[in-house]
Parts: sequence; C-alpha cells; structure tokens
Amino acid sequence: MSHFPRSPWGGARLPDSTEPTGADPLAELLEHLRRPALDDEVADEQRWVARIMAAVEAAGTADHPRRAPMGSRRLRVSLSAALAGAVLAAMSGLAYAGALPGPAQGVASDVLGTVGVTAPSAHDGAASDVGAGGSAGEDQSGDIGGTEDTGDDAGGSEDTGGTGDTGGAGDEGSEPSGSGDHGKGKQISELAHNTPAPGKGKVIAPVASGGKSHAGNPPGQAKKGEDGEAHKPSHPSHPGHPSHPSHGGGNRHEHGGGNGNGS
Amino acid sequence: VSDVTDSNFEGILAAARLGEQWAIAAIWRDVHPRLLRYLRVAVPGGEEDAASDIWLDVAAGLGRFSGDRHAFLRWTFTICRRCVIDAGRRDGRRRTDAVPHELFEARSRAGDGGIEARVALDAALDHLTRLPRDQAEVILLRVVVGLDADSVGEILGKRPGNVRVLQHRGLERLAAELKRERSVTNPDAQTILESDEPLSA
Repeated sequence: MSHFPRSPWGGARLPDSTEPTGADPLAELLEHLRRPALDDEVADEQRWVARIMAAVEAAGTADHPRRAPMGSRRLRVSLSAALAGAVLAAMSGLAYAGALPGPAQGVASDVLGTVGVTAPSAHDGAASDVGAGGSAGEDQSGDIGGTEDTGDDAGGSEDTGGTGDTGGAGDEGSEPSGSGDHGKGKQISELAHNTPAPGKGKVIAPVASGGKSHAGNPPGQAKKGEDGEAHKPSHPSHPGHPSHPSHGGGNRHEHGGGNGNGS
Repeated sequence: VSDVTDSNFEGILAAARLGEQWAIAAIWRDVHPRLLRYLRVAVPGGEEDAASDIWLDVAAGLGRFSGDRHAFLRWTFTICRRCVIDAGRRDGRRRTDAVPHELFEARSRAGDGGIEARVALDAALDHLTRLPRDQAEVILLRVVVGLDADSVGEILGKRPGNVRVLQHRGLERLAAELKRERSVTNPDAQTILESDEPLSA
C-alpha cells in the first residue's frame, strides 16, 4: 500500500524508496498539498483572466497578423516605389510620344502640360496618326522612286549602248556612259583639227549629231528624214552656220550629247 | 475545477494564443492554485504580487511557447522560480512579513467545507517552509506541481539524481518533524508508544 496516492492534477506517484515507513502523518500532509484547487485559490478569476488577456494582447502573442520585420517592410516599400517610378516613366514616355490611347493621351497631355512638358493631346495624336499614314504613303512613293531608279539604270544601259543621248538620266547613270561620250568628243576633236577650215562644219556636224544634222547643206536640201519637223533649223537666220552645228538639230538629244562631252 | 487535460491542452493553448477568454481561464484555473502554493512557501506573504508578475511573463511568452501540458508546467515554473529569485534579491532576505489581510479575506471567502481544507493546506505548507529551501522546492515541484525528477532538475539546474536525494531528505525531515509534533501535541500517547511498560487496566 502506498502512502502517496496519485495527485488529482496528474502528479506522478513518488517512488517507494522515498516513502518513509510509518509516515501516515506525512501521507496526510502530502495529500493536503495535492488537494485540488480551493475556492479561494481560484477567486477573482475574471480579474486575473482579464489581466492576462490584456498582457497577451499587449505582447502581440495573440494570433493577429504579425508585422513584417522592419527590413522586409523597407524592401517592400522600396520595391513598390521603384515599380511605381518605372510605370510612371514608361507612361510619361508613351504620353510624350503620343502613343497612348486617345482619352489617356488627353489626360497625360494635360498633366504633363502642368509641369511644362509639351505632349501631344488626344487630337494631336489623331493627327499624328494621319501623318503616320502620310509617311507610309511617302514610303510607298519611295518605293516607286526606286522603280524610277531602276529606270535610270535602264537609261544607263542605253548610255552603255553608246548613244550618249539619254540626257540627265545618262549623267546620273553609270560610268560607262561618260566614257562613251568622251570617246566621241575625241573623235570630233580630231576631225576639227584635221579637217581644213572650209567645210569643217559640214564634216563634223553629222558625226557629232550621229548623222542627224544637215549643217552645211544648202537650205532646202535637207532631206525629209524620220525626224521631220524636229530637224528644221532652229535658227533660220543662221542656216548652215558652221560655228553652230548643233543648233541645226535643236533637239534634246544633241544637248544631252553636249552635256556628255562637257562632263 | 480544472478543465485542462493532457489530451485537450494543445487546443486550449492554441485558443489562448488567439486571446480566447475561456482558454486563458482554463489554463489559469489549472496552473494558478499550484503557483500560489509554491509561492506561499517561496515568498510567504508576497505570493499575489509574485503571481501577477509570473502571469505577465507567461502571457508575454505564450506565443513563443510550444509543447504539451507537461512542458507548459515546466516552462511556467521556470519563470516562477526566476521571479522568486529576483524577489529574493530585491528583499535581500527571505520574506517573514505578516500575512497581508487580503489573503485572509480571500481565504475567508472559502465555503464552510473549504475552511478545513484551507487550514490543512496551510499547515502542510507551513511545514514545507521549515525545510531547507532546495528540499522544499523539490517537494513542491514534485508533489504540488506534479513534475517528474528530470523536469524538476531542469528547473532547479540539478541532476535528476540530486533531485531524488533532496526529495528523500526533505520527506524524511518532514516525517521526523511531524512525528515530533505529534509527540508534542499528544505527549501521553507518545509516551505510551515509546514505553516498554505494559498498559495497566
């Protein structure tokens, strides 16, 4: 038989080795110590519990959402500020470029206008849209121009063919065109040196004009060639003047040839 | 009556952390009487103030505590002992003041059936106050609080074997004192028991 009954509070039974023999008074004493709570020991429960609850709340041990550590809060604030700044900068850039949707562009224009930054308004944005379309049209024209360039190249090819009469197009063309004119000029220059003065124009003019000029011929002997009216003397007062052989032709092609010689 | 058991302690503790009044009240009813009995021996006359300080510390650390009911008692009485040591340092001596009248008033509120129990409990605690401090602490923690020798050793900073030795010596001393008291209160009976002479008719 043990003199140390188990405590109603769950206390462990003392080991038998500690149980003094014949210690009934001690067993009674221990029994009194293990006695359940007396009424006076749990008096003022509400006051105690209220005080403990206040302490729990004050200590933040209640399961409220805990405040983040100070470093985490600062990092969060910094990230938020950086994100907001980036968004603001991006929106300002778009507003300055007039790339925002109409109403937003209007608001952004007004806001930026208050700080002295000129941004296209919503209406300007629409106009710029039209302008953009015009730019596209110009680009298309440019494409067409490219086609014209191709035509110039074709003209260059004609120059290469040795006619040298393609005018400005020929000048803008490739180098071989110029070289062809240069050879013709050399030929004409030799003719001018070697041919005696009387009848020099009659000799040189057909060469220089490719056989189209009839300078030096008496009036009325000019053949009704394929040029027709185009080969009428442009200077009727100086027909057959040897110093103006090209005037007899008067067409664009001869001027083109002259330009070619000049270059 | 304590509502706390080993099986439901975890749920009650979780509710107490949430600030639930019923849970805090249940824990308080489970711990506070043991606390008062311990403090009655450790800081006679100052148990109410000491208990208040202890509960404030317990409430402050309730969110950080994790463990079962046994661990909670061990943790609470670790706080209790630290507060007792601090109180002893403040006083510079063991409290021998007269029992404050508030304590008598509180005890007077006990029912008729509780008065005898109160007197018996006070007498038992008074016996413990006469023991050396370490022996009294071991008996209080083992008997009143219900902790095992290992837990008591952790609280007192002693090995479990030393705890058992202190417990044995304390109980022997209590038994001897009780035996001496009985001989004093009933000297005739004690004399008869110790006499070898046969009882006369």
